Amino acid sequence: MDELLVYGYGNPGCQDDGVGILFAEKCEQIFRGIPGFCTEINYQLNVEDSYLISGFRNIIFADAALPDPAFIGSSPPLEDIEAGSKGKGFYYYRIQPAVQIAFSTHAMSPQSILGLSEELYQNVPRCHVMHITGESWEFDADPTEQALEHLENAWGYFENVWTGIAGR
Amino acid sequence: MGRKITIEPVTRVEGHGKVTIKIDDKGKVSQTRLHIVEFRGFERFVQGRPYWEAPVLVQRLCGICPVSHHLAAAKAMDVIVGAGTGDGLTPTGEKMRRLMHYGQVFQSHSLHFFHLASPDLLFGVDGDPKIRNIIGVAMEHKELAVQGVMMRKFGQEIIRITAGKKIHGTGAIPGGINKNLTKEEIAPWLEGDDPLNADKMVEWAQGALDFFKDYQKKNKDFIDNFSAFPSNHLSLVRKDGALDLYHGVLRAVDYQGKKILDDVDYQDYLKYIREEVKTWTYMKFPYLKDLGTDKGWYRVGPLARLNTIDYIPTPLAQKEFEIYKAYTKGKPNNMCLHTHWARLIETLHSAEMIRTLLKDPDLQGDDLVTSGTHEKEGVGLIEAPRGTLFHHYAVDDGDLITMANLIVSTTNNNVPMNSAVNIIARSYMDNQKEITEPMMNAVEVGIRAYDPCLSCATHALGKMPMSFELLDSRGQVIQQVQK
Repeated sequence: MDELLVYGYGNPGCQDDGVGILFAEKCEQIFRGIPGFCTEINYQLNVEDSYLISGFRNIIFADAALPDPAFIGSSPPLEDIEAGSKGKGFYYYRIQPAVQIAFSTHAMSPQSILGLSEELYQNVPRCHVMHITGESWEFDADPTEQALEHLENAWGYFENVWTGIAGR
Repeated sequence: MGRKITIEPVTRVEGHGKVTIKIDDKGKVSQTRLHIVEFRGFERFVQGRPYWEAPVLVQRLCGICPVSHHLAAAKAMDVIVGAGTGDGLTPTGEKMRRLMHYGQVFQSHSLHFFHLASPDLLFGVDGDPKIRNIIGVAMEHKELAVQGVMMRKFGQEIIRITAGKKIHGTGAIPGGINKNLTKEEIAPWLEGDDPLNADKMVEWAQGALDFFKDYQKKNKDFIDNFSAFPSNHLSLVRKDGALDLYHGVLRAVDYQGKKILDDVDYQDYLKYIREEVKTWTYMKFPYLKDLGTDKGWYRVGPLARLNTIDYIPTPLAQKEFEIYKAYTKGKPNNMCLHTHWARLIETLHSAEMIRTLLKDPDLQGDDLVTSGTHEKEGVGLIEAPRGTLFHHYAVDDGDLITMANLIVSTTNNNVPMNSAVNIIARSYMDNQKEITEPMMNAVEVGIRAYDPCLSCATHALGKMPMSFELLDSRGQVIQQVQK
């Protein structure tokens, strides 16, 4: 089983919606050649990603989010957001598999992907979400400076996280 | 007291839609509408861009079916660069594109059946909404769920090796393709370990068909009578009448099978098809010009395709097609939920085509692109998973796009979907004192059979607020839920 997958998703044609992908691309540069450390990028999460993540011990999903303090979708309880990741334009938090889907669409949430992985492949990787806050979502390929600053903050935080995983 | 029911968003479809149902003071359904609330405007965005950008740019209409837009735009650009009107590419160019397209159809149809449609079939239209989804399918029908996941993955991998990446690939270019496939790239998907190989995909596609046929026999009344209504049907067909999802001529038949259009070069589509605009939705209403707006609307997609074609040129799918046609004694099939049956036959056909193409040595050819005398205008049509997709562009002397007209598959199905909503609402909600969740899901089941891609159909970015409102006959909000 491989050690870590960093999965960045979003729409790079919509300004800050692509910062999750930028995060994964930064990871790819440092993971290159290191066995068991992988990245994946996509427009959105899909059912087959449950198969992909079932082969890893650790997963980090990276995506853009609306600014603090709340965002549309599954806002995690504040106590679940890991210390050190608040107030700097990103938040990093642990998630668990979704047992139910209250509102179902083709686009899967990270929790749903975990839930499918558990049901179909009997594997629940240790999974975190790296949400990097964006400011603008217009039809443009270039993220805002604010989002890029948040990305750098998230990256600085992540360098400690992955060092811990790699050193285990 | 009269009421207005709003279902928003419609679930387990691609994109965002809203249904409104008005109930009069006597408890009868008086009006139904499927509103499409997204506006995309790609036809305007693409103007002023160089024509060669179109296949890459326009596919960003959608993250679900980008390959269809990529290929339709490329086909239109083939005309503009003088590479012919669909059959003028090199063998390598055409077969690479075909392989890409069948990968797209295979994964899209698989996703729709296993992920979007099967929860209603397995748990019932009135099943518990908490389990009436892919997780519920995974918990109760694990083998089916695993197959659905792997079939979708296989199709995505075929797209990746032909287009360059799974989403928003760049493989098709004006006049051809930008890469071939080596035998080494093909081997994992042709000869690899189970289940990710072409033979297993054919086997599973056949299994899914057998599952549905068995389900239909046991639930005949529901499958045959749910939202059944007569309509015209339109699609591309190969010149000899065969099913061809990549290229052909336009054919339309009425509900009894009489040909309304036949052997029409789709470069001339504007002579035969028009679009109507209404005030309450961003999605337009295409119709056959000679029949007018009331009688000229038509269905597209799997149900329509199997009504317009004469045969399927792959053996296993052809055998299933014969069984399917015999069910209606050779006449067109107008039963909405039989779309799932037709879709699964196409899934089997796509698997057979992928297997055949992967063995074709033309995929290793080096002659990738062709061109000739440039034209100022080009039309590209393709049978996308959801139905006939039209891309039409004009360019100026500087090679910049001056006009774009897109009629996407789901737009073609606008009237049929609205008709489905109306029929189902009347059937389930007339004279009912209480409007329940299963009733509203029944409306969604009817829409879902068309596998609509509502994102494409209005050619949202980011956040889309979702709300449910129940209004009384005076328009006062009785109940509101915001997400």
